[in-house]
Amino acid sequence: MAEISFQLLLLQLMTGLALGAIYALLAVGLSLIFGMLTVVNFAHGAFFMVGAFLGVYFLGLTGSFWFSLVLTPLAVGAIGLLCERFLVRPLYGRGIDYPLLLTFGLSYVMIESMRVLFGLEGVPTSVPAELKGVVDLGIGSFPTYRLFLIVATAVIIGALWLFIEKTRYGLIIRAGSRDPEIVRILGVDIARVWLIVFGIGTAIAGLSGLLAAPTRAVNAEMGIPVLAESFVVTVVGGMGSLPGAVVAGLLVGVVFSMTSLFAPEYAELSIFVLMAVVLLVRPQGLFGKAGLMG
Amino acid sequence: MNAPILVAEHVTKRFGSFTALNDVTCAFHKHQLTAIIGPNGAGKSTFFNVLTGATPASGGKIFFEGRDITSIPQHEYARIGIAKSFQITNVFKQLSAHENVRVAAQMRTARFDFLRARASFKSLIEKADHLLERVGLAAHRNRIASELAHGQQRSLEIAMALASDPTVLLMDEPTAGMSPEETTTMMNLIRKLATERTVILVEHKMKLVMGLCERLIVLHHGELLAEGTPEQIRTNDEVRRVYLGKN
Amino acid sequence: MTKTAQTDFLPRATAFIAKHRVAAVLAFLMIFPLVMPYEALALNILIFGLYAVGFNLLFGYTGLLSFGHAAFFGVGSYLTGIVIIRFGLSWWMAIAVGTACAGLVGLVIGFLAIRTRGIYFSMVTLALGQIVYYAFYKAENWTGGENGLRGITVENFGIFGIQLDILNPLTKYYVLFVFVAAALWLVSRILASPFGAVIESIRENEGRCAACGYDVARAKLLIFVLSSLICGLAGALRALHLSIVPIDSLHYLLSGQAVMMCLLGGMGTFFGPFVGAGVFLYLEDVATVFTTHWMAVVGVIFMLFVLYFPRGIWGTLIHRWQARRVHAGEAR
Repeated sequence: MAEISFQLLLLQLMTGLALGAIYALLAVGLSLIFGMLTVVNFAHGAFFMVGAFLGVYFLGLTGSFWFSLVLTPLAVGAIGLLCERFLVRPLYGRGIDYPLLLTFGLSYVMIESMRVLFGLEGVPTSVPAELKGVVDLGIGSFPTYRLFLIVATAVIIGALWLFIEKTRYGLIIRAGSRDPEIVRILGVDIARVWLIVFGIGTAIAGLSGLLAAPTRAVNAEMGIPVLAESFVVTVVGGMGSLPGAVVAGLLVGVVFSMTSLFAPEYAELSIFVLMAVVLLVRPQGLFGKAGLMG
Repeated sequence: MNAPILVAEHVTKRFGSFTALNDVTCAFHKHQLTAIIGPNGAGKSTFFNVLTGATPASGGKIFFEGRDITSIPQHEYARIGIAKSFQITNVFKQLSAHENVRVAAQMRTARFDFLRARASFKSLIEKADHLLERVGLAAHRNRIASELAHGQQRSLEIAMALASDPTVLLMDEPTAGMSPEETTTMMNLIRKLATERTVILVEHKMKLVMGLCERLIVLHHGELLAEGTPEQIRTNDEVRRVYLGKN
Repeated sequence: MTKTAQTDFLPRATAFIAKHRVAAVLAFLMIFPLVMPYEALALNILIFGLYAVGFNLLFGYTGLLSFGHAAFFGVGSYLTGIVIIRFGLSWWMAIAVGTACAGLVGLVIGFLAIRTRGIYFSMVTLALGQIVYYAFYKAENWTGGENGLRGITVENFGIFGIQLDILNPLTKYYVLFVFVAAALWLVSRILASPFGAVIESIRENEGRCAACGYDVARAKLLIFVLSSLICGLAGALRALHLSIVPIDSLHYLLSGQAVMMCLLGGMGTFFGPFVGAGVFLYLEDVATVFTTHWMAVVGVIFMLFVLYFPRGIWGTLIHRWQARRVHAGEAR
């Protein structure tokens, strides 16, 4: 193997962080929903995929990436709200497997709907004009869009953190994920909190789909591997832990990109092996509480 | 006095910064009916869970027949002869009453046997029937456990606990939520069971245990306050202050 | 008058079938290809029915929802094909190898997955199943990668002096049927055994099961391996049926199919998985004629079942018929 310079390593690290940013966003949405509703959203990959399609669609419609950046999460979140209200909610109290099964069926419908609306081939994407090109990071030039991914994720997660830590709603969400009974006793309509959390979680999934769209092929199947990958991140980070989701997301991204540098044929496998190791050594995940598992 | 069979030495249990049990040392003796009592929040249930291995102790040791059992896995307890009946009814809801007991009974003989038929283990079927009769559920043999009344489910649980032929039987508030008649039946059953083995109760109804038990252990704020015969406890000043005084 | 006779008949028939479940299912499967529009569909239902039965051991009876069972089905298929193509093993030896390898993979995945519980278990099995998918996808030299494994041949053979033409679909059906029958007999034995009672008690109340003295982790691992063996056998049979192994055999959507079939038919029932597989594949067969968007149809149907008929088709029927019986005899 040709020697790999330190600069190349750093650049690859940045690439990993950009990929990890998407993973982190996905896992944050998944963890948020799980922490609050104890529902694993098996349609999370499908919401990601719908976000990518709608993102491209809105971009074409408005001509502005920034408009699309606002409209897409709103639209995907709205779909999420409808799904929670009419499909997931009737299943509360029926055992944890049922919402999971339902969202699995939902993912089929969402995949097929996108095929109906946008065709089997998917839609072409490109990096928005204002984010094309490269920037010099001092270690070499790095694609502007990937840098944007890292920054955008930091902003989104920062905003989410502020929302959860500093607002009244956030307080309710934090209390509710610990003990829904308490929230009910305090006179808060827990069903509405669940609805909103599901909406936020799916909106973030849609947003991550939009952000990822320019870096990969947008087709109806794109959410399928993403679902498995976001599960890996959640297991590594620890279910229901938002810091865990962020750290594990970045870690998984870096592991993936480093493996693609040294042994490209094992890149896909590497993150699953990482998960297997975490399961062996620390089954509750890096940031998970032992109680959640047992 | 008989030799101690179950011994707790300096047992401590912390949940985060909260200390539920603090340095509790006490012994339970063979063939004695002992009750752990104390006001609500005294740490009774925590102590019960630590003694039965449901929650690990943060410190201290537990000995059974002289052997250190502090860190053996949960399923080992039933195998060495410690059985328990839970405070919250804990049965296999969708299985019949008979099947509930039979599953518990087969633990010693046919744990992972997956090729022979259940029906061929005649002695287990008979044992389950016998135990159901003992706790007064023979008539409900084929009913699904979740259809049984609360008191019946508690009795079913005791039959399940007995199915492993325990030398020590621990019960967490066996009469909780029972009607007066059910309570009387249960107390008679406990009295009979105690003639054959060591029985340890967790109870907060003081009156109930006074006439029933030979020995009482009083917990207060997670600490051992007193232990002795019902008479000694009745006349213990400290116990009167923290417990009886309120009654 | 006739009405009471009717209401009497169904419960009695159910009770009778429940008592002789293996015989009843086998009798049905014997006649099945003769009434189906074409044998290929019957063969598919036979194979996927067995796959769903294996999955049901874990999901319906133990209460563990795995989303990684395609790994066992696929490994069963691939290994059967690989040993025939590469090592020239006879087809029945190949079935044994394929099934055993699926069990081995089940042991490894199970060992990791049982460290988790509840929904975690579903996520972890899904992710571990994907490892197998990628591993086979990348090992192109052995598996044909994206194009799948091709060229699995089965020589004709004779039994009792009769030469069997395995290319004849009906003959093929009955040859594979022998293996399915053996597997169903085994599953029935497992369910009727003391261990069968242990796995049901795990589903009902894991903590109580441990308190009864059972090592829950070991019991879970054992049933996980047994389940993966059955699914591996189904995969092995499919390799012989199709003569090829598509890479999709390992995909998590195929794991999802086991879940769907099991739930549609009735989880935790003996015949339910076959009903589920039959309905699923028949619908697919019919729907693909009218629409390319077959997944939406199956998705909607599946959601409706989750919402309104969680017992599934067969489960609901059994429940109705049993409700008419006064609490007599066996409960299940």
